[in-house]
Order: sequence, then structure tokens, then C-alpha cells
Amino acid sequence: MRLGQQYAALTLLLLALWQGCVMLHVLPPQAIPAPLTILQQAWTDHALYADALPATLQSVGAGVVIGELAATIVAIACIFSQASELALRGIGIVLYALPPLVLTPLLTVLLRGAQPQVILAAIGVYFPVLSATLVGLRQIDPRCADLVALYGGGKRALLRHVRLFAAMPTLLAGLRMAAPAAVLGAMLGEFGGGRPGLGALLLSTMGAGNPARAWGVALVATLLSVVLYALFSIGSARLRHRAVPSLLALSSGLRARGVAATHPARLVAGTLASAAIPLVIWQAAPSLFGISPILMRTPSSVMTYLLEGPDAAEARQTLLTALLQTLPLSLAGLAGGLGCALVAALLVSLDRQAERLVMPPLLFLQSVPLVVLIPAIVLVAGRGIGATLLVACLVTFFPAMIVLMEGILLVPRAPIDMLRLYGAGRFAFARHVTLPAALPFLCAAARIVAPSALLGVMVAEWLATGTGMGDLLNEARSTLDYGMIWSVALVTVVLSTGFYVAVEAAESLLLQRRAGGGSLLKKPSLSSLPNIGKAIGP
Amino acid sequence: MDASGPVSGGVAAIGIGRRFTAAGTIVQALDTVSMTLSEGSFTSIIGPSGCGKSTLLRLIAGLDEPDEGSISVLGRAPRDLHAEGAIGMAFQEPVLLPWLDVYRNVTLPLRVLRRAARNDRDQVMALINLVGLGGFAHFRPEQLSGGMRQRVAIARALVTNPAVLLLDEPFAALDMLLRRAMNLELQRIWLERRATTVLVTHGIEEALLLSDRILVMAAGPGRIVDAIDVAAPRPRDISVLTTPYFVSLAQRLERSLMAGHPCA
Repeated sequence: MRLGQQYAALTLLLLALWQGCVMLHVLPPQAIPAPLTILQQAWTDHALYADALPATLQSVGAGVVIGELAATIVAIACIFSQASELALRGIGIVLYALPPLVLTPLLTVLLRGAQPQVILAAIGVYFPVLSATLVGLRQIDPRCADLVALYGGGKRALLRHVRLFAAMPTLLAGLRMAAPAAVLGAMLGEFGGGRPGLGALLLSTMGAGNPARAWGVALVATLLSVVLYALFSIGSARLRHRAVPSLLALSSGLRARGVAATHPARLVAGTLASAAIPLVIWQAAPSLFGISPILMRTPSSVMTYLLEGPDAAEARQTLLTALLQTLPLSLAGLAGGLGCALVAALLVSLDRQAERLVMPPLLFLQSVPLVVLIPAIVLVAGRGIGATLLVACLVTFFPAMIVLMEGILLVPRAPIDMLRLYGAGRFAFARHVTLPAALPFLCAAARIVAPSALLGVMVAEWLATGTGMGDLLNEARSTLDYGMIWSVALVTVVLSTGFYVAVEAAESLLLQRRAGGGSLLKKPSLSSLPNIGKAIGP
Repeated sequence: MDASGPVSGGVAAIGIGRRFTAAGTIVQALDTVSMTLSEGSFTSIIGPSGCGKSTLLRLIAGLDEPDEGSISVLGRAPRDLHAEGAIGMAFQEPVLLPWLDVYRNVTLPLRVLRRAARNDRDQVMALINLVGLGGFAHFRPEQLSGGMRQRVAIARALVTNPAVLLLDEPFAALDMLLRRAMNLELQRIWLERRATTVLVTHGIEEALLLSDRILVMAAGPGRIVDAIDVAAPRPRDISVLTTPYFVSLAQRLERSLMAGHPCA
């Protein structure tokens, strides 16, 4: 592929530039070591990697398989029964909205060995794959159903002959998108302690005074998820009718069917009701599975801990202080990332050639678990608020830009001629057509990346700044303060799910108020998918 | 509306009605539609958009149930015929599965019916030849032209050797010359297979060329307003359309259509 060769050449050029800048002292070598230095250090550390890489690989592999199987089974259940979809949607949203870092100490409390890593990797895979698979399973021509019915086939025959095949490319696209989440989940699981892995190695580079090693670990983790991404890309390229909008598909899959047609109030009520289901399961879990109520606190006992316990006032104060450090940073990072993504997407949309050129590297960069760069970012930006904000912006920028670009690629080009009749240029088109058309996708982007912003801030706090919820979680873990661990979990679940639901409501309100805006966009049907795919495909 | 009486091998509809609810209002899509199509006949249904042609076809196919009246195909409820593959259908678009080649697309009904396709290989290849796609059996839909895809859809509709063939504007998306060629092909295939065929169409030329009888429908509510018999030997050539007989039929057809058209 010629385009691929061009990108490879560009990458080599950038690396050479990087090397040159460090050698000419344009970049400080103690913050950003030269690529060759990093490579040299990685070679010296090969024994470390030989220990860590297989462990992480194993967790990622098992997690991908488990997450993928669970997602496929649940997706098929959703096709067969709407009730099960409503119930499972709540669990999905909570699993997606909850930063996996919060689960790390919980899982290390409850499980042994590599299980926490595997489960976190599986959770990272589950939701993107479920959403993408659902989109694929549903996106069939209704006449295909007629065709199957004509020969006496029911829902099962339709699934077997049509839906499963129609879902293959979206399923692979979901896996592709989930690859970095799986790597990240496994590494966050390794934060829990004890066992070897890239996560533990990353943790150990903090404050080790070896910048080349910190960069090396980050790059190896990046390489791992890039390899996974490439594997799933090869898989989808082998399907002839490949190509699906990646995150856009996910974002529409995250919604209940026909969100635009649902009244926002009813949507919120329905989502909240289904999101309450995981809380009920949590409440019942200790008695159901025979887990010690000391180790696993239920939501009600967390409330008791925070309201009536002996140290309730102190615990509340600690939690509130941490929350007030973490929340503003997350929101600011989210706003920064979304804002930059919107501006960048609008600028790119001015030129049709640029749109096509920018998508492949974007998809590639999106697959980098940017959180692993935190030690490296700390070397560049220090341990202050700046570093945390940079992390939050970075982790939100790339996925948000992909969603926006995919939305913008759906804007038909015909209006440009209409506006040109009145002497309008590209900027006028961007203002009058592209920007309004992109707004619903900005909402979708906010919904999709908000959990990443929170996660980015919390990991930065855990690893670098020693403030906020991330640090509180780390502290509580090392002092075995189970009440606090589960309190952080409850507060984060409620906040992140609440945010998700609120943005979803805003989105449906927006879509409802301008049904016209919705009709401007071509509906991403099965027939239009290949074109989008050509634009963004690897 | 017809004196030929019930025919076991054909299609019989008695006083069927079908309503839909759209945006809170009830739309009478079909109102007391009755018709009898004799076994092995070719019938066209013609009428303005929204007159319920496709609804009627779906009712005959057993993909939908009427609110009033009854419909029977081969003397039985259409639904009961599904498991036998006795009804074949082609839509306005080919609706092919993009991940299957021509052969696998054509044999899809056999797999849904759980009939072993392996023994039928020669017959299926003969069918693919019949629709003029010999040599293309292992092409994928994306590698075929629009006309070829529509032939695949017709071969698929014929693969179970159905007693009833339902065609819902199958050539509407094709250009005029290709459409004419496909009409002649359809006539050839029909002469060979002799399935009871119902063609929903907008095209007067197409209807006259192919049909034993043409049913003219009007909208609001959907109903049959005229039935025109075409008594001319087959195979018919495009040139027959300029004969006085066909010209007078075309004029009558046009009058009936105009009378039932909402703009008239």
C-alpha cells in the first residue's frame, strides 16, 4: 500500500528528527532521551521485559478472549430479547463509565494471581465489542428478514445466515478499537502489586531516575497495542466487505435503539433504571457469593461508613477534598481535548484530501494507550497540574477527533455547491453546514471520552502528583482501608454514570430539536459503509 | 371480479383489507381487494406510488397478514407454503448478501430450508445459466453490474422451483435499454418455468409485454379499478407494442391509471 509506505517514511523521518534534536541539545535528554538511547536501554533491560511482557501478553490474550465471548453472547441475547437488552445496557454503561483503575484494588482484594489483570482487560474489551457487534447484527436490510421468512426461517435462521456474517466486520472493528483498552486494563490490573508485568514495570520506573527506561516501557506497551490493532486490522481486511466506522459505530451502538425518537426524560429514566441494576447486584453480591462483608462492602455499608461510622466525618472530608482535586481537572481536560478536537476536525474538513490523509494516523494514534506515557510526560511537564491536564487532554483528543471526523465525513457534499451559488467559500461551508452537523457527534464524543479523561487524571494522580482520587485509592489500598476503597468506587460509579446519562440526554435533546439536522446526514447504512471504510480503513 | 372460479394452483384473494397506523392516523392501504390468478398465469399489478401494490405482494407472499378477508395460494394459507419453498420473491433492489458469491447467494433459500444443496449443483448451475450468468458463479455481488445482480436475485427466487413467483419492481432501478432486455429474459425464463407470476410495476410497456392480465390499482384507499386481459401469443417481441391491438390496450391502461391517479 503506497499510502502506508508514505506514512512509514514519515514516521522514520520524525524519529530521525527527534534523534537529531536531542543530539543538538534542542530537546533536553534527561526529559526526552533520543530514540537510540531508548533502544539501547531497552536492550540492557531485556531481562526485565522477558519477565514482564509474557505476563502482560497472557493477561491481554485471556482478557480479549473472555471479553469478546461475553460481548458476543450478550449481543445475541439483545437481538433476541429487548428486555435483556435494557437490563444488560445498564451493566454495560457502568462498566464503560467506571475508570478501571478504581477496580484494581477491589479486584486484588477479591481475587488472586493474574485474575484481576485478566478481568480488567476483559472489561476493556467487553463494551466496545458489544456495541460494535450490536450495530453489525442490527444493520441488515429488512428485506433480508423477508427473504429468510419466505423460506420458513425465523430469528435463529436470520441470525445464522445473515446477522452473524453482517456483524463480522463491526465485531473486528470493535476489537480493533478495544485493543488499547485491553492492554491498558491488564497493565492497570498489574498496579495491584506483586506480579510481574508491564504495569508493574511502569510503576517501578516512577522516580527511578532512568528516563530512557520510562520511555522504553511506554513504547513497548504502545507497540503491544499497535500489534494487536494491526492483527485485528488484518482480520477485517480479509473480509471482503470490511470497513465500518469505528467509534461512530460504537457511539450509535451505545445508545438504545432510536434515541433520537425517545423523549429525553424517558431516556434518562430508562437508563438510570437499568444503571441501577449493577448496584443491586453489587448490594447482593457478598451474600450471594459468600464473600466476606469486611472485604467487599456493599453500597449500603459504604453509605453507613460515610454517614454513621466512627470516622465518618473524617472520611467524608478526605473524599470530598480528593474529589474537588480530581473532578475539575477531569472536566477541564475533557473540555480541552474536545475543544482541540473540534477545531482540528473543522480545520481538516476544509480540505477533502486532508480528511482522507488524516484518518489513518488518527486511528493509529487512538490505539496508543496514552496513559502509559505518564512517566514520560512527567519527565517533560513535571509533577504538577500541567502534566495531569496534558494527560487528560491527550487521552480525550484522539478518540474525540475520530468521532468528529467520522461525523463530518457523513456530511453530504451537495450543499457546498448550493452555498457556492451565493458566493460562499470553504469557511462559510464549515460554519453553516459542517459545524452544526458535527454538534451531535461532539455529544457522542463527550460521552465516549469522558471516562478516559477521568481515568487519565486518576492514573496521573496515582503515579505522579500524589493528589486527588487516584492517590486516595492508592493510599487506601496500601493501608487496607476497605471502607475508603469501596467509597471511592461508589462515588466514581455514580459520578461517571451520571455524567454519561446527562450527556446522552443532552444529545437526544439536541437531535430531537433539530430533526432537520439529523436528516442532513446520510444515514450510515450498510451500503454507505464501504465508502466510509475506504476513507478510514488501514 | 372474475368468473373463472377458484383455481387450486393459483392465487385467490377475497375481500382483503389492510390498515397501517402512521403518525397516529390510520391509513387504509388496501380496501376489499379481490382477485383470482390462475395457475401458470402472468399477472402485472400497476398503479401510482402508495396504492398498496407492494403491500398486496407481501400479503400474497405471507410476509404480512390481512386485517380483513382471506388469501390463499395453491389453496392454502401463504404462510404454510414457506417451509416448502413454494414462493419465490425478488425485490426492487437485488438484496444480495455481499459476503457470498453468486452460487451461494442463489442457493441461500436451500440452506434456510435445510435442503442439501450438493446434489442440486447441476440444477443450480443450469439455473445460473438460465439467467445468463454462466461463468459468473464464483463472482461476488460487488464484482457484478446492476443488471447482473438483479439476475442473481431472480435466480435465487427460482432456485426452489417455486409454484408462485412474486416480483416487486425488480427492474425499476435499471436504465431503459437494460430493462427491455431483462423483460425479454424474464419472458424466456417464465416460458420455461411457467410459475404463477405476479409482477408489480410502474411500467406500462413492461406490463403489456409480459402479462396475461394487468390489474390497475388506485390509491387512497388502495383498490383494484380495472383488469385488462392481454390475449396475444408468446414469445412477444418489443415490436408488438406498436401493433394496433397493443396500442389500444395501452390507451385503455393509461385511462384507467389516470382515473385512479390522485393528481387527476
